[in-house]
Amino acid sequence: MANEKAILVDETKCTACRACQVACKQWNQNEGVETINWGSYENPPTLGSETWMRILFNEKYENSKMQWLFTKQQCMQCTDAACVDVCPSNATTYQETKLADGSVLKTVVTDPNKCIGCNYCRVACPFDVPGYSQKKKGIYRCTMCTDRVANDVNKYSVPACVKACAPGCLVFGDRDEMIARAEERVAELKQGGQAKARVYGKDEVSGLMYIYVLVDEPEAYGLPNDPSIPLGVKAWKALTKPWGAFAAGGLVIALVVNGVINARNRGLEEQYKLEE
Amino acid sequence: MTNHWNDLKNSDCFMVCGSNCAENHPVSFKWMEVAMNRKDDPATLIVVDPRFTRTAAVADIYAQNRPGTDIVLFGGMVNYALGGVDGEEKIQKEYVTNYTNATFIVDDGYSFDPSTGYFSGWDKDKLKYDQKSWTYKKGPDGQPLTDPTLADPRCVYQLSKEHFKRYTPEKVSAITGVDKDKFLEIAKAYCATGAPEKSGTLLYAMGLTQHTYGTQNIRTFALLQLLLGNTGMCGGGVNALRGESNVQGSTDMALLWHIIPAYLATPNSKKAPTLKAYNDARVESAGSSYWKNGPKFMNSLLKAFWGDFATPENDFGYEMFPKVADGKNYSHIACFEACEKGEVKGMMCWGQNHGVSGPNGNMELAAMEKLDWLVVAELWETEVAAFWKRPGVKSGDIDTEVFLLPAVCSTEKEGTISNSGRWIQWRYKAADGPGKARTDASIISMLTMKLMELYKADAEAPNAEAITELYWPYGEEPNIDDVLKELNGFTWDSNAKQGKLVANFTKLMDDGTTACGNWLFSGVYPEEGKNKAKAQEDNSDPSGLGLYSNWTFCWPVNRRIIYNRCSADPGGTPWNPDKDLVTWDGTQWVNNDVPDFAWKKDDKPVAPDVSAKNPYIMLNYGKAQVFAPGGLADGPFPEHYEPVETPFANEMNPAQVNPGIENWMKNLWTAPADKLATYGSADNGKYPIICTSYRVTEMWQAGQMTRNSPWLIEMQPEMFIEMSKDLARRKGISDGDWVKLKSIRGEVNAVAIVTDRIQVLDIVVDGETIKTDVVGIPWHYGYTGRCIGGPKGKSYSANQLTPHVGDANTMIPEYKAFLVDIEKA
Repeated sequence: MANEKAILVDETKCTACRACQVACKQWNQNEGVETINWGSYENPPTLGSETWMRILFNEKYENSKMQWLFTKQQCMQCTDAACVDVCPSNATTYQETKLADGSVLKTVVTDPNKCIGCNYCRVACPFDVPGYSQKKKGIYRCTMCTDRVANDVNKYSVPACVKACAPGCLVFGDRDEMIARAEERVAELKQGGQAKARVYGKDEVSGLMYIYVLVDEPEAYGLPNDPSIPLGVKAWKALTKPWGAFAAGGLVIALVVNGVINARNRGLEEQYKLEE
Repeated sequence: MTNHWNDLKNSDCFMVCGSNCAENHPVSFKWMEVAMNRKDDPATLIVVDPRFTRTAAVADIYAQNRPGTDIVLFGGMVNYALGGVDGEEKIQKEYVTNYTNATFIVDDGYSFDPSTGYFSGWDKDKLKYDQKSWTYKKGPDGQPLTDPTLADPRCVYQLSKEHFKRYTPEKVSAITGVDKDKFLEIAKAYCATGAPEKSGTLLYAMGLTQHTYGTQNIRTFALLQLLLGNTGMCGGGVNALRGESNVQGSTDMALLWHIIPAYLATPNSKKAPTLKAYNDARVESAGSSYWKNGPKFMNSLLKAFWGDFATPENDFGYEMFPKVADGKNYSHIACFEACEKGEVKGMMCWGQNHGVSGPNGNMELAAMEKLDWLVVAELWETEVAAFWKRPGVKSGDIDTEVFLLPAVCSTEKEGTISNSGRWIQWRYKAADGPGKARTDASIISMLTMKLMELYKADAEAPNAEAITELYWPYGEEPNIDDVLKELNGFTWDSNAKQGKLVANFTKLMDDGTTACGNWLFSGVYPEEGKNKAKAQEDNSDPSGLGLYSNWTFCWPVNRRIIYNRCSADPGGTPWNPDKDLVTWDGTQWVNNDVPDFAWKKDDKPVAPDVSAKNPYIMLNYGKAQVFAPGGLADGPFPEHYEPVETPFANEMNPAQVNPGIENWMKNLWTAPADKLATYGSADNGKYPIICTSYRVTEMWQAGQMTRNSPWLIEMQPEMFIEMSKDLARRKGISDGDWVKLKSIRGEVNAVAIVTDRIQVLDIVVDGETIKTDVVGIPWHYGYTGRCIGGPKGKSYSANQLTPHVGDANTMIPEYKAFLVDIEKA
């Protein structure tokens, strides 16, 4: 993995000002969606075609000590992406964009013209990210601002979320360097008494393009402790890939896969409600 | 701010109290994170707030306190610093002895009586203090007597010890609800900045000021900062985080009624009927301070008003200058009291939406129905502009004629913005405004020109020259660059009229040869073609202290950190060599910042012993005031009183509310709609829950701009109330339920956020622990615009609940502690 770009998310510095969330909408010209206050600051309640990133607000109160943990949630740009594996129409693929400094921006993209709206990527995703939009007819997710980053002739511009981040929680740079910085930060935090400090995203599903610094279990942040591609998806991949798009009609297998991974189907209904 | 944003990176300890800077000043964290992540000796972040905020989420130490008890908390810290808890002093003694009035002997008549809660000089009939005993004991030469050993029982230092020793950790815990050990942890962490090389800073905002004793809240911490030697230092100071991008600039330009541009006192018709009387009073109150130059600033201001018409013979037009009637108050609260009584005929409302932001909103909006006319200049039809069709009124019954003038927003015009750090920065226009919307300057200029025309045409118009003779070199759309030149000041040559721009305010004269619209801005435009507000290329920082001295202009005279003489010891050696703002190298001063003291005279260096005697040049006797002789309505030392609405008797002394507002309580706050659930009244018990109000990062002020932006609305779509799980259980309320809040003044609807971030507080009264509920609500919502805070037809404005009372000195309304009850809607 030579010289890929990644975003370091040091959650210990995040103040949930959500400038990143708005900057994402502004750069990508995504619409504000209609929401209600559901007893939390967290809104919109799910990602969707108009919301490619959001901040999760996680509260934890133990031994009279309050923790308010904030999580930047968006497509993680997995190296081994379940959504790519599971896509029956080859709409979702890896994309590599060469940057002026010789590095590569590696993202997962979905071609709306090929997307058939089956939503398998959504249920297969260990991070509950993509979702089909009836309105926009396709899957929309974080692009790591490919259009910003790749279109600067000098070097590169940073993604909109990074640009907007005042506390310095978000840093954009070479993945190796981001990992090194994350590890250094974790060492500092451990020295300061944060025993649970850890890097997240370095090795998870073969490596994410978002490298997190956390001070608690990933689950406390609303992240899976051990994200993995469900076995059913692997089986699905082995069976269907040779047949390509033809396999889209593989109803029986689809039902099996769906059964295996249905447990991940958190919030899908709200998602539809939001999108329609 | 005494310091500025970038300087936060130099701090060793942040006390964030009465501020939620992560949410309301997110950029502060760009610099605070630098300090908090320093490799060696990182800064500590302490957050004290009635609820666990997003700022608290990244704090090292957090404590939940009862709203309105900050003087007790800070007073306890002062006591701790003075050794009142463990017998060990934590103060920076050399600083205290040399740079503050701690050594001064106080007049024999001064006293504070803890058995009554009053300072000396209380007049029971007038319900106010006679402040003449709040002064120093003077020697035969008229100078204050001092005791450099600090041993004299009547010196300020000993009186401070005496006054604050009552603020024990036990009292702090009982009154504020902060656990005693937690309090001691805070006191210890913060008072560690008493070491000479260390600096700590207070970051505060409306959470400290919006109380009936708001000024004294700040005073208490300022006093602590002096004792710890933190003022004038890099990374120190007392830092007010201003709530709007240009509220510093609007204050500098005298948005408030009691000052005219650049903090000159508003003339009083009885006390200063003539210019001589006005200027003499300025000089007298200035004593040895730099304010003795007041007459130069005042006369130059008058010259800027009336140009050629202002001459020494006619007192530069002083007679025409608007004055306040003696004893009359023109603050926001007083204005609406007068409006309620029908004393106000017309109102121009500009960039203010008190339909959302004014205290006791129902009363203020009802009072406006008595206006003959209302002019609103705004981006949208705001709550104020639409007051005549607000929910629950019959528009046909309201006779007020309303004009709504469309104005452009800040990005649709150019001009300067003064940030909290006093930097005057130019902003260019990014886009045209919509339709016929105009700039504020254009609206003002067109109005002025029309008035001049009308006054000229009317031979019987009263005080006509005040209008007809204005120096007004502006057209329909004033060139803002020209306006900045007028603020900077220029020489006045009666032939050429506007002469040469002045280099800075030291060049201003009192003889009519200079004109200046704002003496503090003087220096921003020192010569033709050199608008320093536009100097936005050079971001070099040779000292590494974040001063960025070539970046735009900072008032006064580009001084980034005020009182910077105090960053060095009396001999001129910096307390911390890594924070060297000014240094005496043995023969001359070597400066990173513009010195705030006499450092050279006739191009020769002035030795440090001269300035060591006078490090606070804007204060009489050149010393910072641990004891404030006169000037404040409610006492030379801070003392705790309860909020007007509270479930508790005052545990510190028998005076229940701040004596400084007793006169107001009796004589002004008498309108029928000004209902208060005061302690001891029959209504008090009906509203057992303490409520506090605040802003959130997603919304801004009264919401005109943010409640019309879908990207922001989706994040905070509805009015909410934050409450403890315990309270929610008792009331049968779940997360996401609609809740009705009631105060004696109004009713508001909000969605429940049930959370561990607010806990039930243990308040101890007479040895008995009382479980106390606190709830919090944002105040952004209203009844016009794209988002009003909930389904149409109900009220969501927090300020329908808040009381129409304010601070004894500034009259800023009490928005932070009042009583409510709640029920599931």
